[in-house]
Amino acid sequence: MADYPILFSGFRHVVKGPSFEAVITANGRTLISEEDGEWWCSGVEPGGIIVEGEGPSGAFEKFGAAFRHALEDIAEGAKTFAVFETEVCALFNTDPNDARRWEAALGHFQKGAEIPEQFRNLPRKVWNESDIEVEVRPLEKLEKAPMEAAVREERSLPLAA
Amino acid sequence: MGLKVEISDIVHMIRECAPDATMRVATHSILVKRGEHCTRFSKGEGAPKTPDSARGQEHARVVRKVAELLAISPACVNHHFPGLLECEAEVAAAPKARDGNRPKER
Repeated sequence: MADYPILFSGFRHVVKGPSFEAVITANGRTLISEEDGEWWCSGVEPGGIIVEGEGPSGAFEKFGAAFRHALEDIAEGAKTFAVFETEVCALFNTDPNDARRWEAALGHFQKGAEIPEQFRNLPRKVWNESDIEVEVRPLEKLEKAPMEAAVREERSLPLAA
Repeated sequence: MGLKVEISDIVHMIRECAPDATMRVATHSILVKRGEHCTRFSKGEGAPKTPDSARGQEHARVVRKVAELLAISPACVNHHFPGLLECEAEVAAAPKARDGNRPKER
């Protein structure tokens, strides 16, 4: 098996558009795959992103950077907050093909497939579809003070609900 | 897999196979939106912000993801990137071999 299902939570990013500032928070799923010695991280939510990186952790780190860059790219071209929100949701929409692969990979683990060493340190988390979400909201003045430490980004391996 | 493709060829494929898609070159990437999905791929290091200036290379796996999300038909992908899907299918089959499902070679 070369597909590994990953959950992430606590993603947060602040962007500035031409007429707005917004904060995006997200909990989603990615599929980490190894193909011919290359490691890939493909978004299930956000479905529109895939990157290659050095090892599983490197691929996931690059995925986070690509997600942030995509949000900044969307913001720079969005004339209003409403347009930005719609386009972020389109980026976050589930990739149905990778969702099937993610479920299949989860099934392998549930049947007792061995978890490779690179993933053994990840916490296990019960997986509920309702946990997957993206929230886009205008940045309030009070939030502009540093509070990044209040939210912790986390990766985990899914368990069945 | 190490197969790489020209970014400008991805742009051409989208223009021809998904003419209703909107494509915008931003600071970090090229953003493409069609229907309910939005996806992105590299615009190339230092390339200006016009699709015609896209340059550099992107991976075949990215092409597959972009094509699937934008509902571009396999025939169209094959037309622009001959052999790419067959190559991807071989890679997809490879993990089974590692699981021991492939007949043993003598």
